[in-house]
Amino acid sequence: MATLQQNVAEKFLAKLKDGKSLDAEKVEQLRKLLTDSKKPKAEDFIKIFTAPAGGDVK
Amino acid sequence: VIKLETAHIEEVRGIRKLDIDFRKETFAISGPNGSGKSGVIDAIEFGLTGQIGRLTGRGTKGLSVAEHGPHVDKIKFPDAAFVELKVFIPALGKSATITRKVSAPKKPKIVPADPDVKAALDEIADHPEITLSRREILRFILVEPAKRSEEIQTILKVEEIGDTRGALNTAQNKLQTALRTAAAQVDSSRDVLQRHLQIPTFQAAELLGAVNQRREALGLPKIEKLTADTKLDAGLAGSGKAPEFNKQSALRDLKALSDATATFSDLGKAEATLVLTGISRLEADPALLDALQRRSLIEKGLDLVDGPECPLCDQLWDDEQHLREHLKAKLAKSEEAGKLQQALLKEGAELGRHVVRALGFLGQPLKIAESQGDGDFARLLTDWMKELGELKAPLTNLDGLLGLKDRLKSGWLEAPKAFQKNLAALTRKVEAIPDQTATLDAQTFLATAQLRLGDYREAMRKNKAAEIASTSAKAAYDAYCRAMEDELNALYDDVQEDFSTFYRTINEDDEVKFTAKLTPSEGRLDLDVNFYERGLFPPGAYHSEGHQDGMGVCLYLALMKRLFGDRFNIALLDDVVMSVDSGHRYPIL
Repeated sequence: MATLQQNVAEKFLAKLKDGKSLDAEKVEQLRKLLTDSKKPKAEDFIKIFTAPAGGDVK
Repeated sequence: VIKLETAHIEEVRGIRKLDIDFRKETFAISGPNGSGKSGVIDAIEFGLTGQIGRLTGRGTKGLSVAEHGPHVDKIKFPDAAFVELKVFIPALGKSATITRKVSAPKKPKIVPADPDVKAALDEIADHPEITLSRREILRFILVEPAKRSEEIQTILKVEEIGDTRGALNTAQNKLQTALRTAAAQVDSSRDVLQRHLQIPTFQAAELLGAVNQRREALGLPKIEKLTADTKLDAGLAGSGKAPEFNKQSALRDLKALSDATATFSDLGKAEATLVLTGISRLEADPALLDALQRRSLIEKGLDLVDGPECPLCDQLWDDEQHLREHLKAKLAKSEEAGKLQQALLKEGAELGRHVVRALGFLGQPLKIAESQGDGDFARLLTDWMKELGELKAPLTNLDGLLGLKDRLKSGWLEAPKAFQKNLAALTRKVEAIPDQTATLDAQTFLATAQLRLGDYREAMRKNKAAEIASTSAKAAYDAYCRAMEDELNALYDDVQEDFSTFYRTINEDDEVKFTAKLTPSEGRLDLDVNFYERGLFPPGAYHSEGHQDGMGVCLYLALMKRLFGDRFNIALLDDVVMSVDSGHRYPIL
């Protein structure tokens, strides 16, 4: 049975995907963070939000 | 989940030595007060989870499993206090024995030590809510709505979701602050460019007008349209290299700095006053200051919690959840301090923007001083810029602001001694330089314009990136809040339905039309129950004590169903049906 946290995370990611405010790559990074870490920190999120769109290859 | 087969209890709570054969069945214990009924519950709970609920949580300050878990005559010998449970795990079809000593509550001996057995017992250890006492029933039946919301969310382990929401909120606030700083940098670099171009408004047409006037003088083609790739000095010999000194522009930069420093004494005065007022309030109220400093410390500690050991004092708690609750309760107590902290940090952020603005006036004069060989003034400006730059960090946190108290009292942006004298000397030196020829003036004008346009574009690029990051963070925070609200509302709907069904089942003789309503709202969870079809009222309004206890059990069962689903098959109920009459008690069991 999926936990409440998992359900919230799934809905959260689905809303982001529908909302188009974040690109697909960032949504995927958020999915990985929420899957890998039970207690993600603010700095973890900041790293994702500040990453250049389309990857960090310059 | 599991079923109990046997228990062997030694020197735990009020029990010296006891063996019980549960036979995997529902088991009830009765006896006079003080005979050890609750001690059996404590011992089984300890055996399964390493905790004793009665010794933790509200109203249990000073109590601990280590000190008060052993029998009162064995306080000095916690090694003698232990529980051995034989359990059956239906999903695995296996029996296992778990032995746990009070002296080592986190290191049970499990036989067989199979990974699947261990995982099943770890799951139980992670759910101390399998034990329910009458006192806990009151926590979600008779409690005020705000507290009920908190208690139920704790049982459902919603705090982890709350922690994620908190982290997203912190991220969004930090990125908002970063965006403000980036915007201030854009303003500053635009001012520097506009000052050089001498245009009244920052419009592409005006910029091109000023630039083309010089290009025409140099016989260079006009620039028709300003695009992101446009080079204002295109075609100029040595284009892209560091520009030579432009006398008129340099004089304007020096004058701008002179004018600006005259206003520095008033810059951020209102914000500095508000910060100082806040600091005075803290100094007049040591308890508030203490709460604020502790708050800052506790916030850091809460962020670092990763297990039952407190990261602030190394104290080992029974489990991480209790440690978190303890720290959160401390934060809740300092709400007033929290509001003051927010206000101080807001003013600090504004002061930070003034610092960026001030730094914007100093950059160009430093280059002029260096180009004119004025080493003393260049060093003074370098040191001042470094000092102002170092103000940015302390302005973003409470300890930093407290440390800036004396600085903020007067002239926090005040120029160093000898600044005016050096500035005047450099200005005179530049004024004394023979006017540049029209050609050289036009050349250096274009080269300087291109360099400053580059700085402006870079500031714009960073601001755009900061804007995207800030917008993303806000969108994510809002989406998480909505997802959390949707999920909790759905959960409460299910709990409400199950709760009503369970209660109707145990009261089928006289409350077959019983309904209940859980209404979540901002930080509250209202519970109203139908009193014999007279309408919805709080549980404590008209229902008897016995009915209220029955409701408590039903709400508990509904919550457990959400946690474990159909696997829920063990609960340790301590006195929870004490006031429920026998006719209504049996359906519960």
